[in-house]
Amino acid sequence: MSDVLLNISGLTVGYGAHNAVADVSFALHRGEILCLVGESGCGKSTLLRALLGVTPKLAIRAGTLTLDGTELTAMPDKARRALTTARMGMVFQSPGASFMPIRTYRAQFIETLKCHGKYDAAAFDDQAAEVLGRLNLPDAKRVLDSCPFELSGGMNQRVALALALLLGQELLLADEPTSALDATVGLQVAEEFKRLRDEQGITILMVTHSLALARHLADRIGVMYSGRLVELADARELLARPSHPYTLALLSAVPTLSGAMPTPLPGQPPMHGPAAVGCEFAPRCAYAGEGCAAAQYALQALAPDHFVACWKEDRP
Amino acid sequence: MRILEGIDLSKRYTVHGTPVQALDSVSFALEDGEILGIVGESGSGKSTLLRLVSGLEAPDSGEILLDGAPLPAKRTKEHYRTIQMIFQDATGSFHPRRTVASSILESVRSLCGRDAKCDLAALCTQVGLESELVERLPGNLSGGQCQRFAIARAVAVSPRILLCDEITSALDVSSQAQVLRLLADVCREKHMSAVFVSHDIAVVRCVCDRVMVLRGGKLVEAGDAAEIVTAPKEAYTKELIASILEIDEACMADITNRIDTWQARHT
Amino acid sequence: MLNNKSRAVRIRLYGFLILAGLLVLLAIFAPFFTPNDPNATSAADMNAAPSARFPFGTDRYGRCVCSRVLVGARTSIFSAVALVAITFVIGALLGMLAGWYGGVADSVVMRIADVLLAFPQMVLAIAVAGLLGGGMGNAMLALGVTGWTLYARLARSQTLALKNEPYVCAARLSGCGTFSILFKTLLPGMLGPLTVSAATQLGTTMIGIAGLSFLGIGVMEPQAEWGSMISGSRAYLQLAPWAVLAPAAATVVTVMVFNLLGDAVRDALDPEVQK
Repeated sequence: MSDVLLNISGLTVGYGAHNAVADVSFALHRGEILCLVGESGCGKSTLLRALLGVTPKLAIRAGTLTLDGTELTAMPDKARRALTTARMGMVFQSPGASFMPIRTYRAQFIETLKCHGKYDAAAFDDQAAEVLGRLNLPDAKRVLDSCPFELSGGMNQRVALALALLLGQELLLADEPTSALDATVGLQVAEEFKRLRDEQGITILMVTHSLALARHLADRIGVMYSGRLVELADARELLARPSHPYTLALLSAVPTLSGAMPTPLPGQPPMHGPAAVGCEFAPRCAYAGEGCAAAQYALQALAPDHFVACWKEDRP
Repeated sequence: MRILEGIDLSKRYTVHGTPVQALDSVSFALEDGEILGIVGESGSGKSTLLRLVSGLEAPDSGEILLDGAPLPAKRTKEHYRTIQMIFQDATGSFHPRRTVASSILESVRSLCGRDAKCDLAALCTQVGLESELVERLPGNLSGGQCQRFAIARAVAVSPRILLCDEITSALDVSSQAQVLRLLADVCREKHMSAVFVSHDIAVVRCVCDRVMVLRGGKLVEAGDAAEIVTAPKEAYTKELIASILEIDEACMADITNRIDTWQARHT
Repeated sequence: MLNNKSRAVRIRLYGFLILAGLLVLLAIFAPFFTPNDPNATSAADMNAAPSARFPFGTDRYGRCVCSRVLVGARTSIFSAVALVAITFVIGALLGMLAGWYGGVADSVVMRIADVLLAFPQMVLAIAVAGLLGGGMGNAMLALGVTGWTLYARLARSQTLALKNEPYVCAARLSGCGTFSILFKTLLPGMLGPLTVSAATQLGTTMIGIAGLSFLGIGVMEPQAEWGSMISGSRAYLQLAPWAVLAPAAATVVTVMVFNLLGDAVRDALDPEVQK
C-alpha cells in the first residue's frame, strides 16, 4: 500500500468558459491533514467538488487525479463517481446542509448506507452508537431520532463526520467545517478532526480561510490564490518561513490579541479565475517587479518540502 | 463625557413557542470618541442590544440615554441621524434593485432634508473605492466593497455614533483588515464614537478601546480592551480567549522584520 | 430585468402581451366592428345558420351572434379586468399591512380571509348575488368578496419574508416612514408574484362572471355577455349550436390567452428561469 492516497497532477477545473482552478499539483499522503488556505474565489471549494466529482457542469479540463493507484480521470464518469463517493466523504460549511432538515438522522443514515450497500439492519444501532460515542455524542438514540434542525451546529457537524465513519470513507474532504460555528464549538469540532486522524488514520483534506486553524490542525498547508497553488509546505515550515508575498500578506492581515491593527491588502481578489500568463497576485503585490506580468506559473522547491510559485528572487 | 448609556436593558423573544430572555438587565456606557466592543457567542444578546439602541426594536424594560436624555421608543429623524448602524450582511443592506449611489442619496435626502447635497466622489475617496463602483447594483460588488459603501452611507449623514453589527464576520481576511482600518480612521477623523459587536475577540481587541463580554443575555465582564485580553477575570472570558487560534508572535515578529528589511533596501 | 432571459421566454411574453392587448382593443372598439345591431331582433331569421349576413348565425330571437359576441367581449373582459384590478389593490394593501404590523391587525385580516375561503367561491358568490339581486355590479361584488384573499395572502407572506431583511432595516434607520417603506422598498419586489397571480386570475374571474350570468344572477337581458348567451341558447343547442359554440369558444380563447400570459409573466420574472 503506497503512502500516497490521492495524487493530483496539473489539475485544471472549471465551469462554463472559465477555469476556476489551474495547474494544481500535490500529493496527499495517507493519514495526513492537509489544509488549503485561501480567500473566497480562490477556487479551493471548487477543487474539493471536482475531486468528489458529483457536481454537474464542473469539468476537469486537464491534469490527472489518482486515488490509491487508480487513475480517476481515465475512468468513465459513472464508475468514477461510484469510486469517489465510496471512498471520499464530504463535510460542508453549513452544519446539517447535506441532510434534509425535516427528516430524522436515523432515516437518512439508513438510506445512505443502503445506497452504498453497507446497511446491516441488525448491527446498525450498535455501529451507530459506537461511532457517535467516539465523536462525543454519547446519547446516540436521541441524536438518531432527531432531525437536523433540532440539534446545534456543532452536533450536526459531528453527525456528518459520523456518517463518513459509518461508510468507511478513508478520505474526508472538509469545506470550511468550522466557519459557521462559534469559536469554542469550532475548536471542539476541529479537535474531532484531529482525533479522527490520530485514532482512525483518516486522511483529511480541509479547506479554510483561517491560517490559524490550519496551523492548529494541519500537517501540511497549501495556500491558494486565484485558482492556483502559490505555496505548499509542511505546516511548521510554512509558518516559520513563509515565502510567497500573498502568504506574507495574509499573515499580516489577521488580527491578533496583541491589539496591533492588521495590515490590509490593497485591491480586490480577482473575480475571473486564473489567467493564462503572468502572476495573478502581481497587481496587489508590494514586491512586484517588471517580469511579474509575464511570469509563467511554476512551483519551485525552496526546501525539500517547501514549494513556492514566485519567480522573483528579490522579496522579503 | 458619556454620549450613550444603556440602563438595565431587557428583551424577551418567543422562539418556536418558548420564551427566550435575549437580554437580561444589561447596562453599558459609551464615552465620547471611544469605540466600545461587545463580544459574545451566538445567543449572547449582543445583536439584540444593538437593535434596541438603534431603535429597530423597543426594550421590554430599561432605558437608553443619549447625552443624558432618554431616547423614546419612537425615534425621530434627528435620532436616526445621530445613531447610524452598519449590518453584517453588507450586500443585503442595500436595496437589491437600486444602485448603491441611489441608496446612499436616498438616505441622505431622507435624514438631511430633501435638498441636501451629497458629494459621492468625495465619499468614495474617503472609503478608498473608485467612484464608478458606486453606480453598480449591490449584487455586482464584493462583500468588502459593499461594506465600505455601507460605512460611506452611514458617514454621509454625519452621525455621532456608529453601531457595527458583526460588520466583518462575513468578510475575508483581507477585506476584514480593510474595513477595520477604515472604521478606525473614520471614527478618528470625524470624531465619532462606535459600538462594535463581534464574536471574534481578536478583532475587537484591535479596534476597540473598551470591551464588554456578554453571555446568554447577561454581562460577564467589562473593562479596558488590553486588560481584558491579558488579564481576564471571569472563567468564560478566559475560555473565549483560549478558543482563539493564533499564529505565534515570534512568527509575526519575524515576518515584520523581513518586510521592514526589504523596504529599507528598496527606498 | 429581462436581459438574461432566453429568447423563448421573451417571445412568449411579448406574444401573449400583444394577443391580450388585441383582445382588449377588440373589446374597446367592438361596436365599430359589429356587422349588425347586437340587439336587433328579427322574427324571420331566428336560429339561422351562419351566412354572409350573419357570420356566426343568429340566436333564438334572430339577433346576430357575432355582433353579440363582440359586444359581449366588452362586458366580459372589462368587468373581469376591473374586478381583478380592484381586488388586487385592496388585497395587496390589506396583505402588506397585515404582514408589516402583525399582531391584531394580522389576525383580524387573516381570520376574515380564512372564513371567506372556507366556502367554495362560486357557492358563496351565488348566495351573495342571489341576495343582492341580479346585475353586473352585484355579480362583480359577489365574486370580489372572496377575490381579494389571494392577493392578501401573497402580499402578506412576501412582506413577512422581506420585513427583516437588512435593507429594509436600513431603510427604517434612514427615517423612512412605514408607507414609504411599504410602497417604495417592499412593493416593487412583490409586484412580480402578485402580477402573475392577477394575470392568471383574469381567466378565473371571467369564468366566474360567465358562470353567474349563465345561472341568471349576473347580467340581465338583453345585455350581451358570453355566459348569459350560452345559457340562453342552451335549450336550442340542437337547432342552433352556433349560438352556444361562438360565445363558448370566445370564452375559452380569451381565458387561455390570459392564463398563458400569466405563465409567460411568471417565467419572465422568475429569477430561476435564465438562459
